Amino acid sequence: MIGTPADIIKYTRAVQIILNGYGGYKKGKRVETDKQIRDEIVRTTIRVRQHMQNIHDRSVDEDNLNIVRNARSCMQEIDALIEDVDKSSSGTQHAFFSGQRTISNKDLKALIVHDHEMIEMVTNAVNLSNDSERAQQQGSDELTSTIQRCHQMISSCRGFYSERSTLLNGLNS
Amino acid sequence: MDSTVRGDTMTAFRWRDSPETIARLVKTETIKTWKTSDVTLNPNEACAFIENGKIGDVLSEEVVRNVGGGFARFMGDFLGRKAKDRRMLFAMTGPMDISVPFIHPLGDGQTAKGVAQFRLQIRKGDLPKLLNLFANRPPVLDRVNLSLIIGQEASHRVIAPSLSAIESLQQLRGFELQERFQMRSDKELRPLLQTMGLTMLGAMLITHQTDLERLSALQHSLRAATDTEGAQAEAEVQRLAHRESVTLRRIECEMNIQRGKAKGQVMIEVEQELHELRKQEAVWEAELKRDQARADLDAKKMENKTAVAMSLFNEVQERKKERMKTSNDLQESMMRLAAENGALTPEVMQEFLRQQGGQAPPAVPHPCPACQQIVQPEWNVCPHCGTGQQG
Repeated sequence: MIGTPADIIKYTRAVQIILNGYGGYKKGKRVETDKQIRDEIVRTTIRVRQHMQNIHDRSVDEDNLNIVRNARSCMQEIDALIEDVDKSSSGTQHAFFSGQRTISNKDLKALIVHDHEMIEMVTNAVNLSNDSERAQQQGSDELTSTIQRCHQMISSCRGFYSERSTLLNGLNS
Repeated sequence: MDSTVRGDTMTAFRWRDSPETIARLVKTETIKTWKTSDVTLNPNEACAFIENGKIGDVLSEEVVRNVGGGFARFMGDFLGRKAKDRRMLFAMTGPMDISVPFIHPLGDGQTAKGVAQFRLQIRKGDLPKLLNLFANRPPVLDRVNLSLIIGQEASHRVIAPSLSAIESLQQLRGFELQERFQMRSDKELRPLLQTMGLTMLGAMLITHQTDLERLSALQHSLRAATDTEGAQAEAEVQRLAHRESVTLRRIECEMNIQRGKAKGQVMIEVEQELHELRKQEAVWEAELKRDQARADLDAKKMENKTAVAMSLFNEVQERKKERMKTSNDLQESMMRLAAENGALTPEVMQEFLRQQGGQAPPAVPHPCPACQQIVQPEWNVCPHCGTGQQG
C-alpha cells in the first residue's frame, strides 16, 4: 500500500526524481525510506561543504581572514547539520501493546511534504554556495553576504529538520 | 574481537573492544563459530562490505545478520561455494579527537611544548577510503596509530610553520594563533586526510606552560604570598592598634570615673564646708548687724550729746555776746568820754583792747616805739634799732 494521496503526488514525484531506488513511503518500509532521505540530505549538504572548503582554502592563500572566518563558520554549521541528520530518529517498532499508532495517510502526507521542502532548502543552500564560489572567482563584493546567506539557509535547515522528529514521533515503521 | 552468545541460534559479533579503536578491517573467514554471527551497527558505527575486491554496501543503524561463522558457511567453504575474499570494514562515524604532541622552539628562544588536537570524523560515504590506510598497516586502527600517521605531516606542514612565527608568549596564547592554526590545518592536511576518508572538523593548539611562564607564575605566587603576609601583618598591626586604643579608652574611662568620684567627694566636702562657712557668715552677719546697730546707737548718743553741748555752747555764746555787747557799749561810751576829754592815748587804747576780752593786738605791722620804723607783728625785736617789743 502506497500511502500517497492524490494531492501530494507532485511531492512524491519530486522526491522520486532525487532518490534512486525510491519505493515511496510504504508500510513496513518507512524506516528504510527515511534513511534514504537522510542520506540524500547529508550528501547534498556535503556538496555545500565542499564549495565552502574551496572558498576557505582560496581565502587562506589570499590571507583574507574575514572570508576565512565566514566560510569556517558556515562549515561548522554544515557539520552540525550533518550530525543532526546522521544521528536523528527514524522512529522504531515498539512492542505490540505499547500504544504505538499505525501510520495514516495524513502522517505520510505531512512527512513527504516536509522531506520535499527540506530537500528544496538544502538545494537552495547548494545554489547559494555555488553563488559564493562564483562571487569569489569574480572578485565580487557580495561574497561575504552570499556566504552569510548560505550560513543562514543551513541554520534554517537545521531548525526545519528538527520538526521531523515531531512528525515521526509515535509512528509505526 | 569479542563474541558473545545471544540466544541459542546466533552470536553477536563485536568488532570493537576498546574505546580507542576507530576502525577495523575484518576478514569473515576469521570468524570461526558454529553458530552464525550477527552484528548490530549503532548510529555512530558504519560497515562497508568488500567482496572479491569490490566495494559493496555501506551500512549503518541496522542489524546485519549472518556476517560470518555458522555451519552453512563452513559447508560452503568446504564445498568451495562462497566468495573467495570477503571482508568487512567497520569504523566509528562520530567525531574524534586526535592528539599530536610537539616540542618546538619559538622565535624568542623559548621552547613550546604541548599537543595539537585535531577533531576528525569518518563519514559514512568516505568509509571505503579507509582501505588506503589498511593497505600496508595492521587491520586495527586506533587513535594512537592515527596520531602517528598524521603526526609527522602535521608537524612539518602546520605546527612548525605556525610556531616559528611566534615571538612572544602573548602571541603564543593569542586568539590569532589558534585561528591561523585551524585554517592552516584545514587547508594543509586536507589532501592527506581525504586519502584516508577523514574529514577535519576543527583543530586546536594546546601549549603547556613554558619555562618563562613557569618562572612568571612562581614570581607571581611568591609576590602573592608576600602580599598576603604583608596584608596579614598590616591587619595584625591594625588589630593591635585597635586593642591599644580600646585599652587606652577603657583606662581613660576608668580614670574619668575615678576623677568624677573624687570630684564628687570633694564637691560634697566643699559643699559641707561652704555650708559651714555660710552658717558662720550668717552668724558674722548677725553679729555685724548687732554691732552696727550698737555703733549707730552710740553714734546717736554722741550726736545727741554733741547737740546738747552745741546748744549749751550756743547759749553760752549768746550770753557772751550779750555780755560783750553790754561791755562794748560801756567801753564805747568810756572811749567816747576819753576821746571827748583828750585822754585817748595808746596806753589807754592798749588797755582798752586788753580789756576787750584779753585779745591780742591786731596782727598788723606797727611802728617801733624807739625808731618809729615799721615792725611786723610776729617780730620780737626791731631789726632797725634792736629794741625789744614788750608783750
